[in-house]
Amino acid sequence: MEVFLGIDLGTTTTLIGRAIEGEKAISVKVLPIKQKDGRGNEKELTYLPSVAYLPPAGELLVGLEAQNRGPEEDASRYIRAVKRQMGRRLLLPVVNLEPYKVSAAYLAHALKEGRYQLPLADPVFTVTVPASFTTNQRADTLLALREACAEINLRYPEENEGELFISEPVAAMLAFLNQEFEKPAAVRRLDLSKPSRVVVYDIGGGTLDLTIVYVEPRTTPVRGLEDIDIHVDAIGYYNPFGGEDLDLELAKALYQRLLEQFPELHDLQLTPEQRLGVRLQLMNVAKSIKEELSEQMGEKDDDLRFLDEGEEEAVYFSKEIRILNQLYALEGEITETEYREIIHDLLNNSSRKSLTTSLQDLLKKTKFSPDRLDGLLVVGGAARLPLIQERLRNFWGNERIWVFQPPDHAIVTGAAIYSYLRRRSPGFVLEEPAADAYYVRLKEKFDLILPANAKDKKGEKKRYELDSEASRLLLQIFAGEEAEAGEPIESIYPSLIHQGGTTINLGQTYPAGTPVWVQMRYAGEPGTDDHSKVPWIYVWVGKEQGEPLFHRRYSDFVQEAQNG
Amino acid sequence: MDKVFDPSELELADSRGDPGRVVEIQKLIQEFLGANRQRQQGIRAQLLEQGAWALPGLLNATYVWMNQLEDAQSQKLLSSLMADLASDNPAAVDLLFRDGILEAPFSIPRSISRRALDEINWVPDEANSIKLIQAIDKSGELYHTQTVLDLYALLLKRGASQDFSNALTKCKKWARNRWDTSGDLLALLVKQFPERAEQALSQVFLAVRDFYSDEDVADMLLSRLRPIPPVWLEEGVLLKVSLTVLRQMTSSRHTTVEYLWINAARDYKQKKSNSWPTIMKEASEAVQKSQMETLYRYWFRALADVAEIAYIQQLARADDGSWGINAILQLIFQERRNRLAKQALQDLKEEYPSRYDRASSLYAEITGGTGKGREGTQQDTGIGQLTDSAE
Repeated sequence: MEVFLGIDLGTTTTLIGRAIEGEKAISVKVLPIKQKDGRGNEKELTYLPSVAYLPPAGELLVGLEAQNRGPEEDASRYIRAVKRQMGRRLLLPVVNLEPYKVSAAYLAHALKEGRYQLPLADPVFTVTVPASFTTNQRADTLLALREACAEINLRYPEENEGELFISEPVAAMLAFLNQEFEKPAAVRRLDLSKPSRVVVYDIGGGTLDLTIVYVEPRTTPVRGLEDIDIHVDAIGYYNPFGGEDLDLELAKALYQRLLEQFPELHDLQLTPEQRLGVRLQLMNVAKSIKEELSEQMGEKDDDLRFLDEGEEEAVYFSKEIRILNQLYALEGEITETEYREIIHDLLNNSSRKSLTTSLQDLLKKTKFSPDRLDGLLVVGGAARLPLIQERLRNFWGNERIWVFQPPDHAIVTGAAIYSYLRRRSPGFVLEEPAADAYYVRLKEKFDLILPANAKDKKGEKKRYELDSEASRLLLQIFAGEEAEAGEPIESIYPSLIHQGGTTINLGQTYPAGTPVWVQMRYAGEPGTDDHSKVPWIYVWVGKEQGEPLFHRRYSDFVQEAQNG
Repeated sequence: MDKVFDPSELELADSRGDPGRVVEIQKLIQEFLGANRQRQQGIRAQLLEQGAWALPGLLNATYVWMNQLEDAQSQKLLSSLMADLASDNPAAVDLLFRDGILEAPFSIPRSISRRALDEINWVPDEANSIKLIQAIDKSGELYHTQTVLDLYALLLKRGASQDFSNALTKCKKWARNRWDTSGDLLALLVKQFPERAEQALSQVFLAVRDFYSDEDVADMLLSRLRPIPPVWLEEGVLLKVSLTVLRQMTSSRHTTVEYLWINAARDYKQKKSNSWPTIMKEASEAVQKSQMETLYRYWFRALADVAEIAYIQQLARADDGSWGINAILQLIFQERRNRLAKQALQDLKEEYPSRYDRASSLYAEITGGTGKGREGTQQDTGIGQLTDSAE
């Protein structure tokens, strides 16, 4: 029996859901995940906290146990928000683990739970990634998935590797549309018999992901998701901004309070690891205050009657912060007004680290305005925060703004639905453009080598020349935005970020002016068994035809540091 | 405790952690490069306010804007900014070393990061030295000599003898290949290991013994050494190097050695004019004692070059042997272009006709021969970059 699972591999939480056929729509249940709490108990939560802790002697712990033990025992060995580190060429400090290995541990725990609850089933699973994840980040997620499957002895579906992902906003859109099908046509928020264009605003713990999704009926009448075509019109830039940033701002404020309470702390000399430990403990306190404040703000109408005029309810906090093996009691109160002030910049400023800047940028880039769109769908864990909803309502300016309920279940629900659809509705196709365009560094400028929305998933085979007599060739790739039609390529230069590259041994010395052809495309050569949809790069020197002198999967290629 | 919210090793692992910030900083650097001084100061202050958080963006900006960073002034502005951003944060310094040096594929960004590390007096620890050595060891396979030179510039700071030997071997190899960067590496070696200057100079000069009459090779090796440290004349380093080298030359000549004396005299006289008369006298005595005729000629040539014609004349008068003859010989070489030399020669001809005749014969013998012409030096062209196709 096939079971259809979706996994939302989030920055702060990992969720797993199962899809089954429902009466009017697909029904999804978010599965409880059993986990130790580090205090001798076993608990079931609907999520696994995406945190890990590697005790000095022992195995990597994940979830609730890590969350409860890590910050207290040794915060420098506690790992959070690892999703933000995916695709980066680094070892996590102190624990010396690559980020994908930690993600693999979260995935393995979630998948294991799925297997445990459905022991006889043949799981079909989908994992979510931000739409704006670059190739490197996606490649790292695949590595994590591969490792997780190996760990729990689950067959890794090599042949479907390219379908294992769904971008988070698209998953959210599937979940939203699925909810719509549960309702009578008359009360639906979108008229599914007509094309619609919706911005999906997904704000999780660590990533703000924006996508403009275009949905249109494939047939009429539209009976279900399988009768709908979903296209991604545009993707916002990768923006590591989310609930964690709110926590960071609050943690800074808490830190000031701690210093006020214990002025002697000013003089303490801490190592970088110890400083990180203090920061993580403060962020944990900040997170619980945020959650409590959110609850309180959500229940404001009920609570108002218990407060005198001018009085404001506050969240009381009390937590011991361990610094150099001494405990310092951090306690106090924070009101909603104070909290608003603390996170004011994140709500309102014009840098990329704010709630509306990337939305504004996406609208500007696509030349849409809220009035010309059919709605704004808000999802993601951080969307639970009433302040965020309030800010977005103000920005959007009309009533067509919908917060999925519960907002942190939208993505896992959509992922499970996608697992179901790709098996049960073979005609159902999702095509998403890549998040970034890729550029090759020429001596004097950059040149677009693979557009985000490349036709047939292939970049043009570009002809260049060697600038000097050479037996080796320096090939370096950058990723960034794509120039608007009519705009010079230089307009996107500030968006370019170096991805990596290599020095190719040419095998012989070629004179200056020797032609070199470079191509980047999404599929490996036929017969290479590469179904990952990670692009490959090919280089021909001297002659355009025949075997390329160099070809390599891009994600492997960029992992080669120039000198490393 | 006051740095709890400074970026850590994790945030500063590379430039990809927070692309939003990278993009914003790159825009600022773009503006910075085209701004007037006042605006540049404003942008600088804005970046300094961000502290080490701005460093990943700044590093990536050197990759993106490197074509606008070819002049030394712009490089200096950015390196000083990087140094200020990184100086208080070990993770930032590590990033500068890793992304700015070890993993930097382009020479301009690397050079900017190297300057920044120099500014904060960074010296590699054991672990970083190993990384540098590994990168240098791979150099034969992959890198342009400029890359290796940058790596050595940092590695040699720790002053380890093994690094000196390793770099000296590389320097000799590059010099034999007539690569320009050999002069840079030689300069680095004598700067970081002044007590081993004699060894470095001798061995590298001997490595290019086949090009003994090539002025380009001499320029290649000496131009980066200038100004020649006065101590080399004062403590006899030049003499020791010259004797070691010339004694192993079958031709008993080496233009690089000759030019070293000339440059040393020029630089000394210019930098320490007060001590020059004394050092000139001491050096003359030492050279005379060496009993090496080639060295006599090089020294007299150096003296002529710094307009010490009267002193040469004085030495010519004082000695009837090879020393005095070579002093006259130098005046013969100078007579066409130097009025004072012509007059001095005239006087000597009258005072010591036989010495003059011996010098004249020597002159005819020397100028009758044919020397090797210039062959030029070259840059290591082993690694190419892509450029626009002409088609």
